[in-house]
Amino acid sequence: MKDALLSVRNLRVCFPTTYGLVAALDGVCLELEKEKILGLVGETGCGKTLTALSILRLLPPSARIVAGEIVLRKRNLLDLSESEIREIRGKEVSMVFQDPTSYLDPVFTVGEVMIEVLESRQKIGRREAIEASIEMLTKLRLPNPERILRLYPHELSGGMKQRVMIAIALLCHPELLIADEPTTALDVTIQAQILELIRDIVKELRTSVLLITHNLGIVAENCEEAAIMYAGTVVEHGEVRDVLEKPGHPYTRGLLSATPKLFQKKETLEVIPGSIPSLIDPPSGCKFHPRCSYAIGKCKRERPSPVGLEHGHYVSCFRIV
Amino acid sequence: MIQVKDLRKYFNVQIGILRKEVVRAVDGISFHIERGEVLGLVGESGSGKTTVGKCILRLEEPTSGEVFFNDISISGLDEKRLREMRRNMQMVFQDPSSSLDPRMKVRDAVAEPLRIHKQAKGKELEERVLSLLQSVGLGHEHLNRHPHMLSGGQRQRVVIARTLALNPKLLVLDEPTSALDVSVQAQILNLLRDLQKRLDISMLLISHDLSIIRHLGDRIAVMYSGKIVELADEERLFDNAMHPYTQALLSAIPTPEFGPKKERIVLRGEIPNPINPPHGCRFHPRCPHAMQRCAKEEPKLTNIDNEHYVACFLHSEKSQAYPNSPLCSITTSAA
Repeated sequence: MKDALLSVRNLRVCFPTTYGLVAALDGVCLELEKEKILGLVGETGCGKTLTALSILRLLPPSARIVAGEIVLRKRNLLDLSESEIREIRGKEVSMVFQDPTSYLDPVFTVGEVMIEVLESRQKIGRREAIEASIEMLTKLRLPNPERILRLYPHELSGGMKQRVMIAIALLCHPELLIADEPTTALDVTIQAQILELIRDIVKELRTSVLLITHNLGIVAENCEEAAIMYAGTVVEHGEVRDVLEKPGHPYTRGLLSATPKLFQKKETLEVIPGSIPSLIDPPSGCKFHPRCSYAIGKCKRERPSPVGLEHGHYVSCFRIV
Repeated sequence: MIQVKDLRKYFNVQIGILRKEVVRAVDGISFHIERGEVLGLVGESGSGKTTVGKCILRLEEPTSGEVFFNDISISGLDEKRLREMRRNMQMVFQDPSSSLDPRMKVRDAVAEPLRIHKQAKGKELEERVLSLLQSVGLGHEHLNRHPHMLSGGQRQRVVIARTLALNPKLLVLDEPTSALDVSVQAQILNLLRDLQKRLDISMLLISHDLSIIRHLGDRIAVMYSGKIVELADEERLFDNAMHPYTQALLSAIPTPEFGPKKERIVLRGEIPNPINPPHGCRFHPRCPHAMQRCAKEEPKLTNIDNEHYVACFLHSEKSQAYPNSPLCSITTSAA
């Protein structure tokens, strides 16, 4: 890919447990081009959030990055010192979390947080910081931004809190915004508002977005690229329409047919047999093989590496359909 | 079989020391569910859908209005007769972990309702429990497990097995799959559909997700701020949604279907505060078609066409029907 802003290569993250070292991420590969929105999809425990936290080096202290590299504009973020990575956080890469309530400190007003971010990151004066904050809140279509600066988090509704979080994340015009399930805690009509806002504002600020979600519908409607994760690996990666309309990996197919559709009604949903594998004792070879109806002997023994189809569509499967 | 008439539930909340306010969680709704029918109740948080479910089982005492089960009014029953009645009605809640006692084995959790209602004991009880577990896709090996040894989907299956123990006629399902992953959700939805077909149970399915409701529901009621704004059979509602809120809700749901581009309606503003809901039609401050009249009068839920009920002035009078105009000018016929 020619214009890659971020590339994660073969990332392996382990946690020590009483059962030995458990690989929560097992060779994650991702590419994100400039000014694109990449949707990272997967079910609970597949390692979506862990991938995001690795990029910002915010992993819990017990986690060990065993192998791989995370390259942001030709620099490997894993090689940087603690003070260097602090410079990157918020300025070049910032993150929005699922539940805005637990990430906004209840004892500070919105204005205090925003001004602190700007003063510490951009070395500008207070007056300029206030102006920049108001400008950003206006961009997020928050009514009466001067008033919002004086409010505490509990005085805002869920949708407004999430907009404030996005405003804070975008204050220093980062090149990459990581949004981890930004609308899961919100209602559908509010979710639609927030997603529309994210789409519009990142186009305006020319920010790239890594959008983490479990909802294939959100990916279809908001992203240009999609990556599907399963048990700590990326199984499929490509342009959104290729991945969702011509899925190559049996897991992607299963996920799609298990999702209830709005416009076509089906009598029974097709189900992926079995359940998500345990990380403590993961299956050999392809991690999906015990649940896969296409599995052959080779799937059990060897791990498939990504196979390229047309226009940058990669599938890690021996039996691409 | 179930008839709900003008149900209202107001909660008193204390704000500060001296101020008391009334939250109108459910504000005058009526509907019925036939035998073997699934009624989907869809709405966003705070629209009052869970309260409706609880009022039907009298887990919440309604402020006014009546609920009839096979023509018997539930509201007037005393404690003892209510308990008898509840045998016919069961509820499944959103979070299976908090519906199961962590110290109780699966076997005891499923046997408990049978014991309380003195339905079976000894060997017969054992057999009943096992056959209930089998009917939800679990087996022998799960009998002696505690809830923490089960996955989320398995826990929800245990909860469903337990509610089926007394052969209920009505199941109230409150967001039965929203704590589950997509692939597990599909399993539970298929299970509910099978059970409903096989046992001919009526269901009230409460959810915020229209795609789930569509999958199971025969008829769908859309709630907004304590009121039903539209009620129709499933196909009609999806093909021809008439209330502006239903239209917006349909367009807001993300779906992985590409096909012909659907119209995107993004609502401005937020869900109204139930303490102080807007005058007139509660949706009017966010409605793209609002007219002057909408701020003053409240539209009634009216049968527009063959059991398709809508509460909106755009459709209530034939002369004022502008189903497709993007923005309605202010009408003069009002007031």
